[in-house]
Amino acid sequence: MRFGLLDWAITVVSLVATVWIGLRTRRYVGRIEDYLVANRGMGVWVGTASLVSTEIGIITYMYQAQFGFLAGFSAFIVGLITISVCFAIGRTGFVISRLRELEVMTVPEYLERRYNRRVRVLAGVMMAVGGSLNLGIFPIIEARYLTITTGIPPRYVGWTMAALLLIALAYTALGGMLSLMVTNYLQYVLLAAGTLVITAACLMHIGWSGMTGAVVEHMHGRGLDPFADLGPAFVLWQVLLWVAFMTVWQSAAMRGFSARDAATGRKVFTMTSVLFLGRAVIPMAWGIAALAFFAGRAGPAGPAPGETPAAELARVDAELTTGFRPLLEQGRLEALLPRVDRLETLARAERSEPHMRHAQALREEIGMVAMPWMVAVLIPSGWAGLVMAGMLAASVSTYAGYFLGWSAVISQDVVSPLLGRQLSEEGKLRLTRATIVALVAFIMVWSLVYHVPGPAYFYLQVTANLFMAPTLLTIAAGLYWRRASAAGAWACFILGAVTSLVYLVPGAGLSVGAAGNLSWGLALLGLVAGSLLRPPRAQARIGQGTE
Amino acid sequence: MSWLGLWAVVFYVSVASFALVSALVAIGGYREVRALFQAFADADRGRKPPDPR
Repeated sequence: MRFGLLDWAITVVSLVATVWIGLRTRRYVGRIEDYLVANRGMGVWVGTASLVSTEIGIITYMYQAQFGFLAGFSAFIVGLITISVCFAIGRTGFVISRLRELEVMTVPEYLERRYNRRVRVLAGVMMAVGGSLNLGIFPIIEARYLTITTGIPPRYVGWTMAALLLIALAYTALGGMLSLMVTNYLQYVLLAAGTLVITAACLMHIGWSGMTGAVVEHMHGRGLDPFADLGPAFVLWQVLLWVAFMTVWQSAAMRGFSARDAATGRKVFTMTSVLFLGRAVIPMAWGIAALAFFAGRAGPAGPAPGETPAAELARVDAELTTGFRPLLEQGRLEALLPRVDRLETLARAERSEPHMRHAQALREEIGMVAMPWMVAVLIPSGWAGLVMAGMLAASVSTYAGYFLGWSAVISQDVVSPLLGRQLSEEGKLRLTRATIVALVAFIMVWSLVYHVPGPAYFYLQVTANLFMAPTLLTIAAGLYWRRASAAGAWACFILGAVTSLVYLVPGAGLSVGAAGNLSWGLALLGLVAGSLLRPPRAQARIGQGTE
Repeated sequence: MSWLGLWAVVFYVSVASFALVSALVAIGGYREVRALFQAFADADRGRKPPDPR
């Protein structure tokens, strides 16, 4: 471990500077509109920095690297989908421009104007649940990165994460979106620098040829063709999900709402598209580099003299059952990889489904920590501090952005409408701040009790999918289809959430692509059938409540 | 073009564009942050009651 005194100094100074700047903005926040959308004064560059730094955290780099480690270059298809969707939305203004012109502060707010208050509350509840579950695994995964790269003993990691959450909580609760925009700018500069340092280290030590060699040699014919490896259903679902993400994901949509005008919002999304390509492809490449790094150090694994395949399968499985965890925690992935490979090969030959699942689960665990272990070895002292400052900046900015986004939905779209009375500006601010505190408490607990099924990338996307399909469909239909009704919106939200919930139940066995696409199909069916069976009472006018 | 060729192009384009746009954001963002603070400070002064002196 090379994390020295200089590295700690760089890390602490960057965090103190961020908090100081964040707290300075508090005096300018007087109204809820200042707090949630920075009085709609955001420009293109700060908007781009704010959107990208919110959507890049340590968690993003961890799950993207895991995806690259598991799927090889096939994972890059997500980067191509992201840039295409984000660029198209930036150029056309699909949904985002209309919502900005309507001057809403949260996505469900539009649903009350177009349908009715009950649809807004339902959407708010679904978003609050999906968003909180999504955010709920961030601390535990990010804690693993911090433990590995800094050498902090695991028993203190919970406290470290609590400190980070409290830092984000302090300046977000006090300064709101204005604080976020300013701190996000500084954080973006740091995280971009850290990202480029890790990428340079991967290219210098492993190189592109090392990465391609690892995929060709160790993925047994997989890792290049995304349609063959991940399936057309997965690719289709990603396109749909990213359209929804760019338009109705609260933390992303809030950047559009905070823009000076609709044209500025569109420019932010166009600019962001390029950075979102890097957000996916760069950490995925780190994951592939980590595969090359550890596979290159691995020794051979094979049968003992006279051992039958069935006996070898049982032995390797038993060795991994007892020895996997200690080796993983020591970062000795080069000792684990060949055994997991062997387990997989033998399980396939013996057609043993439980052993196949065991091998896959172990590979997913290795994939989650391979990138940080590689970073801990490759990045020298001094640079490690810069990288850590970048990673913590990414982490804190993501927490801050998500706290504000989801607390805005919970307070403005769930609690406030259910109170049945108009709150004062001060009351709204107090409610939103109290919600942020409650949200922080929830994710600390959830992070400790829930075990993620399958790759983290899939969990995060499925929890988002709880409400993404219905929200985009009801908003797009509200804006562009006059016959969309409140009954259709209700059916859309209920049906759209079912398959995502089934996926999250441990042992349900539903594939991620099927869960995602079914969610979209059922949500669309609910919207169309509900709207046709119970049409709106009055002729709908775009952007205005009719029922 | 082979898959490997395509992914090489995607990787290098993503790294180069990430570096370039990040540099532009760093330069352009600094000016915007200063202007934003100035606008809020002006608005803040406007909200305060006039000095009785």
